[in-house]
Amino acid sequence: MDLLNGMIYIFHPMNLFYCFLGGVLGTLVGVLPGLGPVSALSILLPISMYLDPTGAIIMLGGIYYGAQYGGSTTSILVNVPGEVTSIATTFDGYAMTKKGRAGEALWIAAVGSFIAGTLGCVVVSLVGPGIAKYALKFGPAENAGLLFFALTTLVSLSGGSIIKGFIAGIGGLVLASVGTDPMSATNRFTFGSTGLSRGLEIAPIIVGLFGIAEMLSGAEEGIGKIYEGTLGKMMPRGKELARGLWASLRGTLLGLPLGFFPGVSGVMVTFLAYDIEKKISKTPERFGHGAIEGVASVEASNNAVAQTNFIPLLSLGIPVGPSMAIILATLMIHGLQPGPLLFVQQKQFVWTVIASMYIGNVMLLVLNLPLVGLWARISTIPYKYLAPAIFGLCVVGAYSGRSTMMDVWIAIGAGVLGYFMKKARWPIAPLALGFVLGPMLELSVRQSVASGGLTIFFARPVALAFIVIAVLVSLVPLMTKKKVPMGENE
Amino acid sequence: MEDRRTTFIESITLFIMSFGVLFEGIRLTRIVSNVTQDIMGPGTYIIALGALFMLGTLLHSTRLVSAPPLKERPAEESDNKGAGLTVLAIVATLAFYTVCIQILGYLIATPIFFLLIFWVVRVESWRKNVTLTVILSAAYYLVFVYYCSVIFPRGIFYR
Repeated sequence: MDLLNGMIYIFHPMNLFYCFLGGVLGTLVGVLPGLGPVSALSILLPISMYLDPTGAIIMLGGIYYGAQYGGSTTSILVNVPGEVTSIATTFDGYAMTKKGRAGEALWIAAVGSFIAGTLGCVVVSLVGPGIAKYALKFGPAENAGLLFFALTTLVSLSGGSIIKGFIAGIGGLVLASVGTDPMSATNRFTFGSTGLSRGLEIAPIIVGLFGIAEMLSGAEEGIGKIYEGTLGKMMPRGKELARGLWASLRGTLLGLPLGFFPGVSGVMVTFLAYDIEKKISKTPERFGHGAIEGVASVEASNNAVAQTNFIPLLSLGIPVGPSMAIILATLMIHGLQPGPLLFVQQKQFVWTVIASMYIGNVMLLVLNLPLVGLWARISTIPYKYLAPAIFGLCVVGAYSGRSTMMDVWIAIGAGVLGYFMKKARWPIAPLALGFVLGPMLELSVRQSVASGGLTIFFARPVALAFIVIAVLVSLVPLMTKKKVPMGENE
Repeated sequence: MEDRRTTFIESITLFIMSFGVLFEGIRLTRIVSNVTQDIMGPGTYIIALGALFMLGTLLHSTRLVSAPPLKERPAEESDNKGAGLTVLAIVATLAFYTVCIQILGYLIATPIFFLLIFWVVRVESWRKNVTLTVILSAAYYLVFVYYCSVIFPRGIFYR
């Protein structure tokens, strides 16, 4: 019934427009190498302040999962992953293109993404409210444990260096504490500045760390490839179709549960899906030479993860990655309390957002199949024409939140910091996540300790379980020392 | 793996930062919280963060032992100097724009910024540069000033 109400609201012309806009922008950032969903979300975060909360989240959500669709286009056509979760798509996608089967690869990538996206929506609709209902019983100690879990698991997957991730995460928490103390109203790290006593705003920090830093890094790179071949026939037939669809389903089933866990990055799941597909295949030698299953499972798994990433965000208020952290920040900017209460107090909002995912996936299928040639052309827009427009957006975006030039300086500073961090291979995501979660974590920890002393976390089994799991999950990368490519989802 | 010099510079920077956090925490502990049950505030929480920061820094600095000595810079790295200068020029242009908005106002500063930054990122044709500048400046004005009603500084000429 709630979903039906959401469906009614999503058909409001403005909501449909934001859904469409999110899909188009998402596909666009997906096909543009060097501009991933995190940068796009960070650049558009300040603009979303001028929209109503439902429209803002529908648009930003569309960008996030739209980028998963678009990312495959350049991977398949020009062997350049539009974004990090499409790296594994290049293995067989580009091989199919070289064999004149680009159309089939694009078709199965879009259909596989659609299957995963739609099933993901079903899971969000069914599982999200149940978790939220349970989480309503949480007190400050459980919330603190949950936030600790969200923070440490991401830190543990920070591009292979847990120490760097840990330091960056703590750095984010310190940055978040700049300004007035939430309980005693004492100034911290303000050095006598009135501007700093108001604290650091989320938008300039996010815009700087992801938007400006990404574009500064782009100044050192560049792509000039253009796809000039033919796409060939679009829909695969017979055995190829069956192989592709089954692989899509397997990729979906793998991605759906994994998307729920903080720290499990999309890129890791795509590599896992590819690996599984290769292992179960009777003809593994075809992989890397144009196996349709290699494209289907990878694309389905990353879309399934992208969709179910919304479950912990909407039902618990915890982001499982930097993109979700930005969407969480948007919720906070709009004065919405992320977490289980959303399902109770903002029913219409939540269900309209969930309904928009169903509609968004249909829109993306339509956008990606007939318009694939257009996206392939757009993907070759040179950096020099794109970057100035984005830098301008970053400056205006950083300023517009509080209408103070100090925020622009903070964004530029954060951009330079992010650029050097990227250059020195320090992960940015834990810093941003620490910054976004910092105020909530501080308040939960201090409230818990104030109400039950330092031993409260041992007295509350759920809180203790979260902390223990967080520590265990953090130790896994140390034990295995398995590195995944450092990208935007980390 | 980073060389010893990089790790050394990083460690020193992190040590200074973590000491800074610790000192701020200690300074804050002298302030008595007006919330009676707030055991962790206002300084203890910051000290805890500072201690964790210091712990991370200590762990990071242990890499000094295992890090290899300064690597020979490969030839291609020196080619990146040009790109590094572009990055520097972009940051300088952004800073210049920020100052300009305050002095000249948004309306005048924005076209100047776009002209400059297109030049910095090597849009060599002046015709293209001016055309793109006009289009972007107009689009930004329409979206932000007209549609979103953002109030930008108007600059000295409007006073």
